[in-house]
Amino acid sequence: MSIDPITRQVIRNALRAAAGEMQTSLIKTAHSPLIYEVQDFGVALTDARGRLVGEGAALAGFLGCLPPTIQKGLEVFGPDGFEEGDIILANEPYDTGTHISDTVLYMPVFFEGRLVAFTAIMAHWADIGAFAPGGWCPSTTDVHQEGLIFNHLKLYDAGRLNKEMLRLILRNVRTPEAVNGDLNGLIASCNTGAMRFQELCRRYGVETLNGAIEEIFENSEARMRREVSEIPDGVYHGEAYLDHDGVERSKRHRIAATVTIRGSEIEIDFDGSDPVARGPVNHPLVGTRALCATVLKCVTMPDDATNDGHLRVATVKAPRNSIVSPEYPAPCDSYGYVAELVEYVVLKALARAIPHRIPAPSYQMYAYHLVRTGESEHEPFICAEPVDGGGGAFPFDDGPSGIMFLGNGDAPNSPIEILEASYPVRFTRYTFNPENRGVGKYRGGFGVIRELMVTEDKAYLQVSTENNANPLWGLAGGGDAGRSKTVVTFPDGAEHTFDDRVGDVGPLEAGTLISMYTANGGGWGDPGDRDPMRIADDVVNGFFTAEEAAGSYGVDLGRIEEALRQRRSEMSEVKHAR
Amino acid sequence: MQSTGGITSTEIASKVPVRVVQSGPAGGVIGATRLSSLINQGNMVVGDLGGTTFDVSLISEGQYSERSDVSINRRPIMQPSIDIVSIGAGGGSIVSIDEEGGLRVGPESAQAEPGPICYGFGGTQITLTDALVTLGYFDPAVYMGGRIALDTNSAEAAIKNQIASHLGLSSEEAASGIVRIATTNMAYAIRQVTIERGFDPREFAMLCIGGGCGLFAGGLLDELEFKSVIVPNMPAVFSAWGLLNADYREDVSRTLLTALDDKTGPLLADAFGEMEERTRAALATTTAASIRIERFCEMRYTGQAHTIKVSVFADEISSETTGLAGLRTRFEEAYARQYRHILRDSPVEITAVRLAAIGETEKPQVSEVLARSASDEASLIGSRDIHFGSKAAQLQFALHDRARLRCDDIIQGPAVIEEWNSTVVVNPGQQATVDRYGNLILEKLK
Repeated sequence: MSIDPITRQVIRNALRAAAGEMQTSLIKTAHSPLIYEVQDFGVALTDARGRLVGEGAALAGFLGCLPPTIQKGLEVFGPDGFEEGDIILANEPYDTGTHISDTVLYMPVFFEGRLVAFTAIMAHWADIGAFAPGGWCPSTTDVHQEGLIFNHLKLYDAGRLNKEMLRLILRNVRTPEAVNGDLNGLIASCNTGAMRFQELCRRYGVETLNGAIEEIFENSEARMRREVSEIPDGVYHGEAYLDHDGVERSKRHRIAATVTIRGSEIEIDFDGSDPVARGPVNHPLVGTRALCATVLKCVTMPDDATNDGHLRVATVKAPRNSIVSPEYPAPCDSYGYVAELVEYVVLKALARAIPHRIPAPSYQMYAYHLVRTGESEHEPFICAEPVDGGGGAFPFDDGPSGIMFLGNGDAPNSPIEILEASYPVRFTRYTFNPENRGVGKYRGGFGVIRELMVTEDKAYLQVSTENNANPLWGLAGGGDAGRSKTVVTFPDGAEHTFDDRVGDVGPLEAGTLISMYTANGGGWGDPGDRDPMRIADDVVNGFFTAEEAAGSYGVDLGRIEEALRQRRSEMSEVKHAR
Repeated sequence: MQSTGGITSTEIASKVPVRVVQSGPAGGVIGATRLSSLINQGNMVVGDLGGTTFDVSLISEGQYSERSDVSINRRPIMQPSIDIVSIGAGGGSIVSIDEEGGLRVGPESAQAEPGPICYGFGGTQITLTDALVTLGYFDPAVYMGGRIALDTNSAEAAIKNQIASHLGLSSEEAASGIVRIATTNMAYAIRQVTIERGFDPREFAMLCIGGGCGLFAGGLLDELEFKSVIVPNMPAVFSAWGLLNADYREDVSRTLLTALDDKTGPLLADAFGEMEERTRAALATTTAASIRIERFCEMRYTGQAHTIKVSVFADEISSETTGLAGLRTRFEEAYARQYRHILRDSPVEITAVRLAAIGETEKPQVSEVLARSASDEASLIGSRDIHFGSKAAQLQFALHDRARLRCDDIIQGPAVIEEWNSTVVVNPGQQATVDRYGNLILEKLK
């Protein structure tokens, strides 16, 4: 059945709006700042077969994880195994694609007794009962150390709450109020999406709605295939190495991808990636596939709301039980480092095919936890935030300075005033970190230096970071991205520099200074081709001296000085004009 | 006009221009607030549709809502402002077919120059206005009181060649589709704005202002669950009238991080006292007849990041502490509306105090419309055939002259009510009633 194009477009916009309302509703009702502030979640509306029809992308990578999770549920319960009022929890990483903390809650949607859709949310729980509070264990060796596993369990069965299950959950998490509050928010949000989908069924009829959805899929897929066929045919390769997996600290795990383009077909094969790691950096295949789809969509048609049509274009393969396709009981809790690399190796491969459309990598993840728990004479606190760094250079411009790493999307950082008011810390420095890396015709953005003093005793520091021994690369001849580091200066003046992730540095005494240096992004193009005016601007802005720039870019000092004279005379003209 | 909806002197505005970034749409909201009290309609969604944007704001219990920061071109501006959300939809919104064969209306706009194709100023891109012209919503000869002669043929030809032929539709069907998509986009935006702020559209009336909004009055009433849709007199210049109703206003804020307990009262008294003195001094040079002070605290549950602005009453800030329980109650009421739950026993803290000094001005009189007498001319002046609905079949709309309407007149849809600078569409199954101020109140027939 062909649907008239106007109705199809009205439905397309309505589905997008419905998922947007789910997202809004969740932000409004959630209790934990990980959801309402950091927006560590993804929202999806799928059809009855679990195919994505509407998205609320807070974290883009989560979107591609929700459909396979629901499809697994359809396998577990059978297509007739759902009832109106069911609410199901799933978080086994091999089904859901990330780690246990990102628990999926999904709800079948019925219209006139018939299963028509699912609404689903993957959100980071405030706590999931892992050995590390709040998840993100740095050194687990199997999935059971990482928290409570829900293998598609009905929290509500036909509208009836399974009270014993809820009690079990709340007794096994450290923050039962936040978890319970968030659960109610997740359910309210799924209900909102369900209500909107039912309205559409009432208005257009299930057949028309499904027909329109099918056409929307086909059109999106067709467009993406057109975009893929614009990429030159060929076999392209990208690879990267981790510093370590948190357990085997001397082993550099390899992540490799081969991208094959043939006409409108694209295959991404992770053959050559290392076998499953002993430490918790493994990245489940469901998530690997989702990230490949995210990258492909970013490169080909970034502006469109995502649906199944976009997700079905690439074929993704990986060897069994590898670091990008771990099997039970492999640990996965700090999967994010490999997640970044999965995206970057695919981008690196694509950069060989379409160099002028791919930016260089940004800094790898950097986040810290400053924690005091289990101290009877001191009040407990958990101060945690990701720290901004340098973005990778574009093929046409310098990378942005002081932004979030790729996988964290648009997550905001925390205002210093709020942190100082909330925790025993005082910030002493927050500035750009113009380390002389990531040079190029266009340079990577600068990382930051964020420095704080601990003002009370008995705190412990944990830092999550990667790719400092093996930094990410520049593209088209640009310099490699920089290296993040953490310097702790103790009150007695002793100083210790950490180049990789660390857990439990402490107990720290009042007066300890923690200086966090995040890396520059990678550069793009030969640094010798850099426009001397751009170098002059960086000198004027005080990032480095003309002599330093001449050395690191290999540009003649005389040309830089000439550009500087020109810039300074323009600036004085502007001043006089005022 | 400042972003807060209060006026200030040119001297202050030129010193602190950041205060006037939202000046444009603020006038309409101030006018809507005045109208809200005049007609005793406390809850209104205000939709302002011009050439490029559709600006949505909310009036709840007679008050417009404010926010402490705005985002302009994705940059945060930490200045208090009326809470206005804009989407790219207006008469000049450009119509296109995207790469996936979907019909798009906006967010780009043809602006005033070159404007819609039918204006004949050199525009080549189809706009929402071109679709309306093609469907027959306007009399090409008397558009804008005859100031612009509409070129219907060029508009229709462009829709036929650039849109209709690609979609396998007639040009009227395509034009009708363009209007439908524009209407639903506006409806989704309104829904998002109301729900995001914790309100239910069913408890609201909608106020349509701006030159274009009356055309969508009937469509939005059908699409959303509003009680009614109100179109005031001269909607195209409603914002200008709103500006005449504005008071002088000075806003100050200060960080004050404190728990809400028995030590809070004196802290608040000190802070508000100092802020009041400063703002009164700033208003002293204006022509304001009297000064009213409004006080607020930014509050949150301890440990949270988001704050909620809560009113503080004058009798609560004496050095005594008796009144502060009311502060917690009002915080929790607001919290429950926004987030649908409260944290019953959690401690509450204040993060900042804000004060607005309002220098009240004299307001313009609002004239009333008399009831119909036997000698009044009938408002019905003819009819207009419009291609209506998804099939774009021709339907006869009764044509009324708005200037001839009288209080309590009732007009049954389908009808078009015209005045020189705006057109109001009443869909089939709806009726419009004229109130004592000449506002049109559209309602669905049961």
